[in-house]
Amino acid sequence: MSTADYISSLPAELLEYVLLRVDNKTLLLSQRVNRQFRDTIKESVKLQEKLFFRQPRTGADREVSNFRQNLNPLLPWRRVFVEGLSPQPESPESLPAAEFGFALDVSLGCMDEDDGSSSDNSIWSVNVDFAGAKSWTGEETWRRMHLFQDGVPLLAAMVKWMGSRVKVKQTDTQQYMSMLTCNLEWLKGGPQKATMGKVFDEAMGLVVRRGLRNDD
Amino acid sequence: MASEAEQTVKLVSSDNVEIVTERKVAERSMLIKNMIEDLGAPGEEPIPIMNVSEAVLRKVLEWCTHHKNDPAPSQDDDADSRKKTTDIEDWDQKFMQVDQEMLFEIILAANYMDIKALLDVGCKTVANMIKGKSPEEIRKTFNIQNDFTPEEEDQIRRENEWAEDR
Repeated sequence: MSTADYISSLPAELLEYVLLRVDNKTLLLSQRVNRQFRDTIKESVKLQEKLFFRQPRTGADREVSNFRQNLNPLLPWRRVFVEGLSPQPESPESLPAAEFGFALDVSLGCMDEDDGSSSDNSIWSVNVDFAGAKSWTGEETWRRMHLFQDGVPLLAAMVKWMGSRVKVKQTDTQQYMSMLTCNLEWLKGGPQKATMGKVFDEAMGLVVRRGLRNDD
Repeated sequence: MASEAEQTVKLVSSDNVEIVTERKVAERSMLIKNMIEDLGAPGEEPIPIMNVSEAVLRKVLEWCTHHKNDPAPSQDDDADSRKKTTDIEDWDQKFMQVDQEMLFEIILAANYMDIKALLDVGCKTVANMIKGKSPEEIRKTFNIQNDFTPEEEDQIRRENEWAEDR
């Protein structure tokens, strides 16, 4: 086995071609391999789209019915419910525990057509654990990431901000949720434009303004 | 004149070796196909494949021979770039079990000779070698030198640390 680096002989467009076939997590982290990887990923429009750092130029050529493929796979999506046409209350145990720290719950109501049943409504939500929020530098790449690619057949979207550093009773949590879901300012630019950082900042601002955050 | 199916063409590798092959096999390469159309008289003029050595050219022609009856590639190849899979058929997988020098030579040759399907198989093979690996493991797999300063590497690590344990 030779010890030469043959991958460096690939021109940028061929390394891009290779990296388009790599999973998102490996792709994101592979920016740390060397300058060739970092620069190729940074300068490739297609790879930036793949990583949800930018929205595709056109959505027309993509299959929009399978919205699961259009959700950013690096964000911790979970499906809240799948049945029925009208929203059902979430079971309390599916909510992030308040003492866990902060969690942001972004729910998207989508048409589910990927299993052939176009009448099925389902809500997907992304829970981000913000327990480590204080040590964050503000440079984390999730801030620049879109939640989903344009083309998600979106029926509704809402943001809930859960919990605080103090333990709250379930009833209090419910109250916070209802206050926060009224404020959907981040949606005004269109949910497709929203990055995770924008959603986070909006929710954080709201928490601070309403005095819900208990900084210690 | 021989029918198109029986026609042969002469290819000349970068190290000046003449290889005679079936026209149909050679025309898996869009570069050669276009050259044959431009030359008009296939089989007479040798076709220089300037960037590809004999060993690599023979390997590429082996692939073309196996795939000579494949349907023509579709034009909308880029349209479903989002649904790229890394599935490789068995024969191709065995074909790609070569050392890294040959693997990357094949990719470069397929790119130069414009053989989309072979380029695809080559790139998928490399993608499969990258998938699921940490940056350190990727460097080790491909003997890549880390050319970042410690500060630069640290910066990128900090930005993406959140995704590491998913």
